[in-house]
Amino acid sequence: MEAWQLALIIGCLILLVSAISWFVLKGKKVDRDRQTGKRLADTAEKEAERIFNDEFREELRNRGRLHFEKIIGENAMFLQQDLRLTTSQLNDYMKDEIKRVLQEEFSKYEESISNAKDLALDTIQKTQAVIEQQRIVLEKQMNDEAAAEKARVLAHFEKNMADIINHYILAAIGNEIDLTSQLDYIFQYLEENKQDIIEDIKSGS
Amino acid sequence: MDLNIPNNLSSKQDITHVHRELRKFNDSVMQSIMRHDDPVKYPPISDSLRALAIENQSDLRDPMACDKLLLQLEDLKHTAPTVHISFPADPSRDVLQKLVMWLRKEVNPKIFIQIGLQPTIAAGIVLRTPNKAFDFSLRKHLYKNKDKLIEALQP
Repeated sequence: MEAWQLALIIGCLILLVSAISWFVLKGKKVDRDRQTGKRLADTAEKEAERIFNDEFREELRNRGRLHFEKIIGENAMFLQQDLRLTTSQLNDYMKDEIKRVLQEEFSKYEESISNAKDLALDTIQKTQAVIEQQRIVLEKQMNDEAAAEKARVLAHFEKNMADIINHYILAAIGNEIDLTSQLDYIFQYLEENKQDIIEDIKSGS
Repeated sequence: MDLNIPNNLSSKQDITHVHRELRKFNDSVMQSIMRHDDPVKYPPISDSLRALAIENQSDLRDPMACDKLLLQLEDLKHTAPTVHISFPADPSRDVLQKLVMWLRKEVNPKIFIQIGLQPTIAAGIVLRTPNKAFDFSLRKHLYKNKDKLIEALQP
C-alpha cells in the first residue's frame, strides 16, 4: 500500500467522523430550537387569549357586521341602480328591437299585401280584358247571327210574300170569287200576250 | 167553206156532244124518210146544235147538209187548237163565252178551251197553250209587284 492510498483512507475516515460529529451537534441544536418555539407559541397563545377576549371579539364582530351591512347596503344600492339602468336599457333595447322587428314585419306584410293587391288587380284587369274581348266577340257573333237570321226571315218572307198574301186573299174572299169583275184585268193581260199566244198556237198546231 | 162555231160551243166536249147529237138527229131523220113518214119526223135539237146550224146557215132537214156538217165537226175535233184555262172557281157561262169570243176573234176562229179549276190562284186565270203557260193570276201579279209590296211594308 502506498502512502497516497493510506492518506486517502485516513482522510476519508476523518471526513466521516467530522460528518457524524456535525450531525450529532446539529440534532441537539434543533431540539433546543423546537423547545424554544414551543414556548414562544404557548406564550403567544396566552397573550392572544388575553388580548382577544370575548368582549373584544364581540366588538369586532359588531364592527364587522356594521361594516358588512354598510358594504352590503352600498352594493345593494349600486346593484339597484345598475339593475334599474339595465332594466331601462333593456326596455329601450326591447322597445327598439320590437319596434324594428314589427316595422320589418309590417313592411314585409305591407309589401306582401301590395304585391297581392297588384297581382289581384293585374289578374282582375286581365280577366276584365278577356271578358271584354269575349263580350265583343259574342256581341259581334250575336249581331251577325241576328242579322243573318233577320235577313233569312226577310228573304223567306219576301220569297213567299206573294204566296202568303195570296193565301190570305183566298181565305178572305173564299167562294165569293166573281170572275166577271176580273174580266177587264184578264183581257188586259190577254191583249198584252196575244202575239205570244198566237205564235205558240200556230207552232203547236 | 169554213165552219163557223158559235160561242156557246167552247170546248171539244161540246163539239163531241153536238156531233153525236147531229149524228143521232141525222139517223132519225134518215130512218123517218126510209119509213116514209109523212111528214118526216124531226127529233128536237139542243140549243147548241141549233146555234151551230144557224151560224153556218145549214138546213138540218137536208141530209146532205147534215153529212157535210158532220164531216166538218169530225174534222174540227181533230184539227182545232185548244188552250187550257185554269180558273179559281167555276166560270159562269157568260164569262166563258166572252173569253171564247175574244180568243176566236183575236187568236184563232176555231179555237177551243179546256177548263180547269185551280183554287190557289185566288183571282185571274192561268192560260196554257201547247208549249207555254201564261199566268194571269193574282199570285203572279203579286210576284211581279213584289218590290212595291216590300216598299209598302218598309217602316
